[in-house]
Amino acid sequence: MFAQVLYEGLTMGTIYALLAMGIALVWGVMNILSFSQGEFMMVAMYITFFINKFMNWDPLMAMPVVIIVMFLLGLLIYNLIIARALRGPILGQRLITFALSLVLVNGVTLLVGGQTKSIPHLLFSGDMNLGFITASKQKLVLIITSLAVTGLLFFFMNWTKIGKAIRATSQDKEAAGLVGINTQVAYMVTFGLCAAIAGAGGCAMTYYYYFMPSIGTNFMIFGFIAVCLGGFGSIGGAFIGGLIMGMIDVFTGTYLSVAFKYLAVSVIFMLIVSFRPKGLFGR
Amino acid sequence: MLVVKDLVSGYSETPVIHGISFKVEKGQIVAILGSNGAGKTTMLKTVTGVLPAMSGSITYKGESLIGVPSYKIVAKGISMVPEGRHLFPKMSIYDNLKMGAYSIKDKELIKKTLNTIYEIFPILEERKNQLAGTMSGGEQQMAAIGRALMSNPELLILDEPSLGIMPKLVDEIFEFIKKINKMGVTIVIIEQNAEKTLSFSDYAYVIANGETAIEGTAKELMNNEEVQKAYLGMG
Repeated sequence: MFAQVLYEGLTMGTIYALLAMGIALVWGVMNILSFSQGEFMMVAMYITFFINKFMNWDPLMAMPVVIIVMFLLGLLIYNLIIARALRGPILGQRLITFALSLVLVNGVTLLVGGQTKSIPHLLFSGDMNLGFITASKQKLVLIITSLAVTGLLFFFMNWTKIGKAIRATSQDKEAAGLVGINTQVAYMVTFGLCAAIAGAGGCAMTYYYYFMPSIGTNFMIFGFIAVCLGGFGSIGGAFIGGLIMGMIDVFTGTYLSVAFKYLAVSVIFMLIVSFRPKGLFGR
Repeated sequence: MLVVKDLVSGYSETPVIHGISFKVEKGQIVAILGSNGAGKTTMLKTVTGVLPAMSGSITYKGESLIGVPSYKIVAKGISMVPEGRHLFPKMSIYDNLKMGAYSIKDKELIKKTLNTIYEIFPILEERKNQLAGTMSGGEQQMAAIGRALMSNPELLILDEPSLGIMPKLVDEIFEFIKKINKMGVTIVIIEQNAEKTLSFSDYAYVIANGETAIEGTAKELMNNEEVQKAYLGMG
């Protein structure tokens, strides 16, 4: 039983981790709170759904396309909305992505309706009996995708020139400009990257989840608290924070009651703010 | 090489500097002196494209720098060591230096420049894996100068390199600056520490109330008691 709950917790945790890493990345670089991160995932789910419906591609096959489309969408949103908000007062910067999330939820509802959707035939389905746990193959797809995205993100940020430029910009924007980094481009790529991470996550989530336009909102609070837990701005911290949130979610749901999970995360959030305001890994 | 004429600039709509002019010839060390709040840093930020100019002109090798964003300035051969050093605190010294060469594509050249910098500042090679944020002020200043040199600049601008550094190390930093100048890099140094700066500069400008108040060779300013009393807090 315990091992089984751990597996379920890991599945949830990887979703929260993907959300949290996107939020932490954007916050760390440009001090924008990405309230629309859950909606990016939702949009990615619908893109996956329509690719599957019209071209009959499995979500895993569609994933590279979804990631690219979401990256481009991120660039577009940055240029049309975020870059402008960044020139204005701070309250606008904080709330703009919140407005964006409402527009996306309602926009998608308007376009495709509010009924739940799912993807009918999957390449991997069913369970693997490992003796001590019964592991759903669909959830395994989610876990592996999340780990792969995390690995790629770390590689990108630490070993590529543009990744290093983004890190430099997040640490000192003025100095980044002085060494020759176009910080506007660094911002834009960061936002595209955050949408692309949501793209991979949303695409993988269609493997297991039924979805409707409001699905992103349900995950959002967990994603944000995961970021606080990990220490704002630290991507590795956000990943671990996400895993912890997944465990809390599933363990309270299993051993106490599903009704308690929001209570549990909110109490934990308050405890972090009171005693470790910079998060578990913040310095 | 660099000619700044009647430069007006500031924050939002309020000019902080109203009419600064100066000239830098190739190979020189030019000092720009003045007390805190005289407008030195605002002027520099305008030259390097961090702040927009309201009026006046900035020309480098005959080409106007007005409206050129800061990330393009470095490719033109101007590099700046900002006040307060502004290293990337969570990156190693090595990565900081590598970021300084961001605009350079030639990997061999980067390697060669890095070795030259390690020769000038051996401590940077010893500490190359240390995070920049954990180093002392003096070491950070050397790293900041090293990072600025990684782009192989023809003109190096230093903003208050002696600020926040142990007095003992200040002389050392100034020695490094002289050495870098001897290697053929033209230098503009902004300082409050007027006496020491004049001792190794060729030409100097004194800025007061956002304007060029007085200029002359370093020797002239050193020997002019009135200037020292009025503008430099010496004497």
